[in-house]
Amino acid sequence: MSKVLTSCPFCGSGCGMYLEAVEGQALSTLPQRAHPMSRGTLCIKGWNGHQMIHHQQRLDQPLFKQDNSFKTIPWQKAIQSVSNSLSEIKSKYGPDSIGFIGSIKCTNEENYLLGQFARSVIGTNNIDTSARFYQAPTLTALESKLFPVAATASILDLEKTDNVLLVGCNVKDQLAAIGSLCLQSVNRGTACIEVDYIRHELTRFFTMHLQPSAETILWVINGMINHIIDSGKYRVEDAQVEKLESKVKEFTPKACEQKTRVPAKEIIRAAEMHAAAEKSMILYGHSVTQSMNGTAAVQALWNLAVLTGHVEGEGNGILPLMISNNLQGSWDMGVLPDKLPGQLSISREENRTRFEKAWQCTLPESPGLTLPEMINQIGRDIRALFIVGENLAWSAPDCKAVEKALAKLDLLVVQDLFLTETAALADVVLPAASFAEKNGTYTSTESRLQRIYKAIEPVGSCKPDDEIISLLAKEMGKNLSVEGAADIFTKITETVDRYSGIDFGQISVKGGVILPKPAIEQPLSFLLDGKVAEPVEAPNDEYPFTLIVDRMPFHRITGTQVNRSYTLEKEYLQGAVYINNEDARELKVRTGWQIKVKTRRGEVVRRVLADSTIPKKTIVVPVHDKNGLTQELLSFKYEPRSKTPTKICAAKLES
Amino acid sequence: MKVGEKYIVDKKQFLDLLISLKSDYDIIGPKKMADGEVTFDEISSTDEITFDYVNEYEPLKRFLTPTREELFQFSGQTNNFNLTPPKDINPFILFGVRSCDVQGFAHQDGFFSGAYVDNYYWARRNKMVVISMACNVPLDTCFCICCNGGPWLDSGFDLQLTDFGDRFLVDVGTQKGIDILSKITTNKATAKDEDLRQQLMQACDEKMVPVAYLAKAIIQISNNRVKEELWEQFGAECFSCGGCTHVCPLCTCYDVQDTMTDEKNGVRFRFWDSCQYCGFTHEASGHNPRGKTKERVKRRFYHKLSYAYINQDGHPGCVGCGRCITVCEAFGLLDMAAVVKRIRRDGYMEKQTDNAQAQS
Repeated sequence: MSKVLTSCPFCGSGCGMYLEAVEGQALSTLPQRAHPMSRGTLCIKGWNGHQMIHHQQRLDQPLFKQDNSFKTIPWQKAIQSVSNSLSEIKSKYGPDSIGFIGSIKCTNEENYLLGQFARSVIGTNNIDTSARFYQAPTLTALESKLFPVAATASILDLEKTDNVLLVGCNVKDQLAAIGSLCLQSVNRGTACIEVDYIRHELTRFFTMHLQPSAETILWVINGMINHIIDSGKYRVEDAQVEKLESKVKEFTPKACEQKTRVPAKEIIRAAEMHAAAEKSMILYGHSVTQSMNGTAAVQALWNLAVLTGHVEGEGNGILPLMISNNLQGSWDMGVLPDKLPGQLSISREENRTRFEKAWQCTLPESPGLTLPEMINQIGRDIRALFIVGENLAWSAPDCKAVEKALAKLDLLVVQDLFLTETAALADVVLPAASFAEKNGTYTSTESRLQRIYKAIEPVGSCKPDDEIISLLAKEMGKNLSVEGAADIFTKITETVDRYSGIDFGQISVKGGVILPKPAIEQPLSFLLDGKVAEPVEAPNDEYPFTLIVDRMPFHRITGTQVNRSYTLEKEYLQGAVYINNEDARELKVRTGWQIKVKTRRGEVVRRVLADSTIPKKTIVVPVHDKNGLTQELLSFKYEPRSKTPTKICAAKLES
Repeated sequence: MKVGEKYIVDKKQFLDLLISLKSDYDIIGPKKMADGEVTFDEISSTDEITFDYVNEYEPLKRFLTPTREELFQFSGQTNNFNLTPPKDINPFILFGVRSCDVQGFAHQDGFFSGAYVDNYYWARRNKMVVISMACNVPLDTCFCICCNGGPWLDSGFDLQLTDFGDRFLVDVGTQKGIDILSKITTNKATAKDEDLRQQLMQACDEKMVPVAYLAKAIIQISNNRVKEELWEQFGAECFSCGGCTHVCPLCTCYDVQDTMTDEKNGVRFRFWDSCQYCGFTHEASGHNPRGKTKERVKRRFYHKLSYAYINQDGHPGCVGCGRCITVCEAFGLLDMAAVVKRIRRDGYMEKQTDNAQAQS
């Protein structure tokens, strides 16, 4: 038996844990007591998620599709086949006919290499990750202010702050370690203001809960800003405030009350608490970003932080809550259509030169397509997709339409652990190694860089994603000249400033390294170009309900991994949908009864759970329920600036 | 040499003896890991053993019921299965176990016997030799003195060591222990040695930080007199991570699964489960008798502290190892010490109310 230290591969908190391996099998996990942030705790995913490693459905050999069914083929043939197909499509339609989807779950090294492969071997900037679905508004909103875009606060600042503004995140279920620290802070007397559509389990312990109606978080934030300016309780120059004042003058607490249904006096009280606190932090999650006002809302949160002097410093700052272990890392590694590693803009020549030298190639200049744009362009500009560890046919909104689109590709290559819904559509599936079977690093939501260590040999003939990409590059005539994660990490430290000077072998076993905080544009200034958008689908007579997607503690993203853990899989309430008690009464249904949820795109039948904490005329559906797709109900319309699809739509219920 | 007697041995000599038993036993002892954490793992030389530890975070019950244990392999089809039992394990010595874990073994012994004797458990248990090490220095989460979980024990071990620097004082617990100890030179412990041990025990007791007065909580829980609002509060605080049951040396629950290794062959195994998970009591019909978090938290403390179970097991369901204090995501709110304190302070209904309810 051996215990191998690693960091948890599930959410963005980055808890420390050990994997216990016996005779080549990873059998259990144990939290790391010496970890400075998680301090010996894990959530339900951390304790049980590893069960997927040896699940019977793990892919162990490459699959090749012939006559609509898969057959196993040796690695060499698989790599040859992918290489030939990619070369053929590239010469026929040009490099920009190929798109790459990286992974917010894979290591920094794998993402870096995928970016290098897409840009230097294929020659396209069409590369993105599913971070587009979750946190892209953060990038769009803050890229002019922060370099690189990352949290300005650490998670442990929660212990030093006086006030926490927690916006749009079910933090207990999504990032339990951060939820735990919020609860501890509140119990020590820190004030915590939660703003979210839904009342969560932890909400009862918080100082205030502002419960706006769907898609109106922006109004609450701007209402707070309006009041702070109005009452003169800001900490910036008057001259600077004038510009912001004209921008938010319509957002009086009274007007916001009408829009959001949050009483004006609560908006005022929250604003005063936030402004008066000596130290205050802003944490925000997906109810903010997955909205038609995503970018504008993140900008508003930035403005609020600047206005009250809470942008940086101990116990201050902005902490975007990231759903996945390496979402920040995927940005830092440049898995973005317009950014090179280090989040350097592709449009600037000096940035391109840096990587042209490092990668010995000529880089394409114009930014590529984002993930939703690639999907929209399938059959036109996009002919092939190369997907690493992403289940688009489930993770994308209106996923049935996305599934149809993917089927139209000339070539679909998927690297994954399991035969996901997306992999099932692929021409070639390449079996990848899990976190237990490889070395590498993750960058958590607070930019904590941590190691994962190989605990067991890969299952079957699986290979780490970076090794697969290396082999493919070699087959295509370009040696990326890297040998394993340590080597790639050295390359990263040479090219990405934020990671420079870090020795792969020396990354601390007690919580890794906290990367340097982003440089903040000085003097601090407001973001004034935010525009207010209306929801994609406002409820009407035909579809009178608003459907909101919520998350569950035992789940992550599409559940490719967690649904294959015996323990986590048992946690599902069979196809539940939460509605308000009074709505249930009107519809003449009770908890436990079946109900049909219909939107303009599809319908699912679910079990009702009537709950008084759910706002009226609102339906809350757990995301990616394994008993029926939630995603097919949602619209694929996205916020124009960040290209992030909204996860709110109009719906109706039929009993 | 008799059971119950105390002896003094030279530390180095004893450790050499331990290593010399390698041919007959797997020797498991405390080792340091890179981050300073200690783990019980196979020992091949005395240098590997650390004495700088309080306890491993993972309870040592895993040597009796592994986190994932193969029950048998199967092949074939319906009505025609070939079953292969798992391979035998070697006899093993657990060296340096702390008293709380030893008391945990006693509880496990009870659970896996009785009407349903668990052969898998006893196959391991009968091959285990326990050489425990009484604690001189507790962690700031330890409260074994409140739960008869240590720091010294009267039984449950084969040999119990007290660290005197260059010597061990050895309590002989069983014939198995005598068989090992009689291989080296020993001297009977003198009154002075016993005195020293008494002093160490006293000093250790005084260092214990948390106090867990179980009595009142036991009375209130057994009489169903804890306020419902308090359980509700616990339910909202609980993260349902299952950490408390995982690190508890007494928790025994497991789940059973079959998995196919290829098209024709498969494995049945069992693995640790937790009553704190919603799926634990999820019934096939969709009904869940403990679907709410508060019901599961309540269940946990009923099992640990109600008379019904204390009567059955002969002891409360806690040995005071304090691991649940560290592991709890609702830090400091839902561990054993915190819960009994909260029930004692403000969680119980007055007896009057209770009577009034009974009359109405």
